[in-house]
Amino acid sequence: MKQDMKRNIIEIINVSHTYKSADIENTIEALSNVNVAIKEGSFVVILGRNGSGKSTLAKLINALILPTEGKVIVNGMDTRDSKYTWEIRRTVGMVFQNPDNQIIGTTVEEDVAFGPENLGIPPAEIVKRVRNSLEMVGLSEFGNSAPHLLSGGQKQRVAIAGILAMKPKCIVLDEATSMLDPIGRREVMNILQKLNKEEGITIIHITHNMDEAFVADRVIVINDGMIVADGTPKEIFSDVDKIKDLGLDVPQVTELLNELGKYGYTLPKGILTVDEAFDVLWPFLMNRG
Amino acid sequence: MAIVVENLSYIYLKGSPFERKALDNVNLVINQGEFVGIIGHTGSGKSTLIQHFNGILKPTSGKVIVDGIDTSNKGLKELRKKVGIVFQYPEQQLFEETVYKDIAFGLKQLNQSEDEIDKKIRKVIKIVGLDEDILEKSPFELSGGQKRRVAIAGILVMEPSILVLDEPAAGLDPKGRNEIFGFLQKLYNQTKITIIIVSHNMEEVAKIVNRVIVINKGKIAMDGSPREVFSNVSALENIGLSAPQITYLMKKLKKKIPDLRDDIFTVEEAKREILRYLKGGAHD
Repeated sequence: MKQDMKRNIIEIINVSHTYKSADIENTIEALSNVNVAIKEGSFVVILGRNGSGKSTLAKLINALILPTEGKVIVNGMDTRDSKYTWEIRRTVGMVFQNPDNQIIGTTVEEDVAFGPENLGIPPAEIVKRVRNSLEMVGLSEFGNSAPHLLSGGQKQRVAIAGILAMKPKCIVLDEATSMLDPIGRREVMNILQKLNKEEGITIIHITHNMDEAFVADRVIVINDGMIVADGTPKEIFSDVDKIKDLGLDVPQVTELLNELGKYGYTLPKGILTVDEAFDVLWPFLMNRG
Repeated sequence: MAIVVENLSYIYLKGSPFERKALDNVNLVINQGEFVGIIGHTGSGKSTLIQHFNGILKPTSGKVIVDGIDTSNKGLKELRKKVGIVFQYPEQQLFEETVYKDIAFGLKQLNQSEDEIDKKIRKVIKIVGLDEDILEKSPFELSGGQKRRVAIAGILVMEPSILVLDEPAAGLDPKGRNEIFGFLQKLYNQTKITIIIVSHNMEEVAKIVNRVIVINKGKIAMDGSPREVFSNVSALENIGLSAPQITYLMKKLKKKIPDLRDDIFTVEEAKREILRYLKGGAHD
């Protein structure tokens, strides 16, 4: 396995996180003793219901919050050590859920330049980075546009460009596609795949949209603050009943094969796409079972 | 007839450099008791259309008549009682200290008695599938799916005869989404009020509505039963939409096995059809 040769960019070690409240009853343990390591250059999808703890995990990776117990290591830096905070945020960029809440510039270029400007990068270099970043997300022609006139998918791509301009090693997307329509989703997913393949950027994509899990090398499922499944998309979606019990979806074709299995027919598990299902069902039906 | 739309056009920012035609000569009749799904891309005009149903927007040209009321007229109080619109992310509009007060807000404006209000709230909270003990909680203590249902309860408690929901499941996880669609189906079965859902989620819409209207570039592109609309995969794809995944599988299988039906869009139907075929049975 080539992947295993790569080093870990993120290490989450025995992490628990509790949101404290003056009212004891409202103290919530969002994560409980989580251990996970993420290889540099991988594309990881984290699935989980609302309230499962997945956003807490994302914030821990970016040092937006610090673990109540355990530690988070980003590219060799411990997030608890405040001298690394800015370096960690430059290494791991975050895209949030609501496209309207993270744009601050009056033009797209200005918005993308905001990050590198704050890093004190020389103007000529900023211009170059803004141009490159917009090109990478396919928005070169929109540099002078007003962000509020863009579609939701385009706004999220502007947010991604703003992160790219800081040359990150890893991008974490916290339900960044959940408010987008199908076209916007596809746009964002295409960009993420491209950045992962061509630029080698590690992608950690948090979602509850199972269609978006197929492109990942690895799917991690979180429930009630714990990791309950971890594997390739095929492995994860092999256990249809478990995934449905966790309040998540499976593809229609996966569910169909699982349902047929309940009638005593032996069919392979972990079928995700129409083509795979066709290849299995056609010979099966021709022989009438 | 619940809603009659005649030659409706709507232009945003007319006369400005940003002028944009959102609806272009739309003609449409929705009957009392229909359960309609309106699908289309962002920017297709679907939200603009539904905002005409209670007179928030007035036609640039053409007419919208709802239960005999012309929405271009003044004095739309009666109309707004008939048509309840649940906007996207309705939980952002929750503001009271308790769920009870939030749901009661609309009824209080109508000067109804406390007893009457109390009865209606206890009824509506069950309809949206929540427990009565949630009524005394703050809306902000609830989960996303619960908040959404409380917001919908605030509209339902006004007892509209037409309920319109714009992307009722947007941003919810699968369980929250199933809860919303589940209670809408139950609500429809029990009351037969007219329900109109605007959604991107074809697979869910296909399961519960009895009519699908596809809007594209301000015009009605398709209109029919879910079966009619989703069987026409190429027409859907031409406007950048797609049929449910299972429909694609059945279409592909039919090419090899002509005896299989391919006008199928739910897993349940596909399962039944395949089992029928395996047992060598005749069509239903």
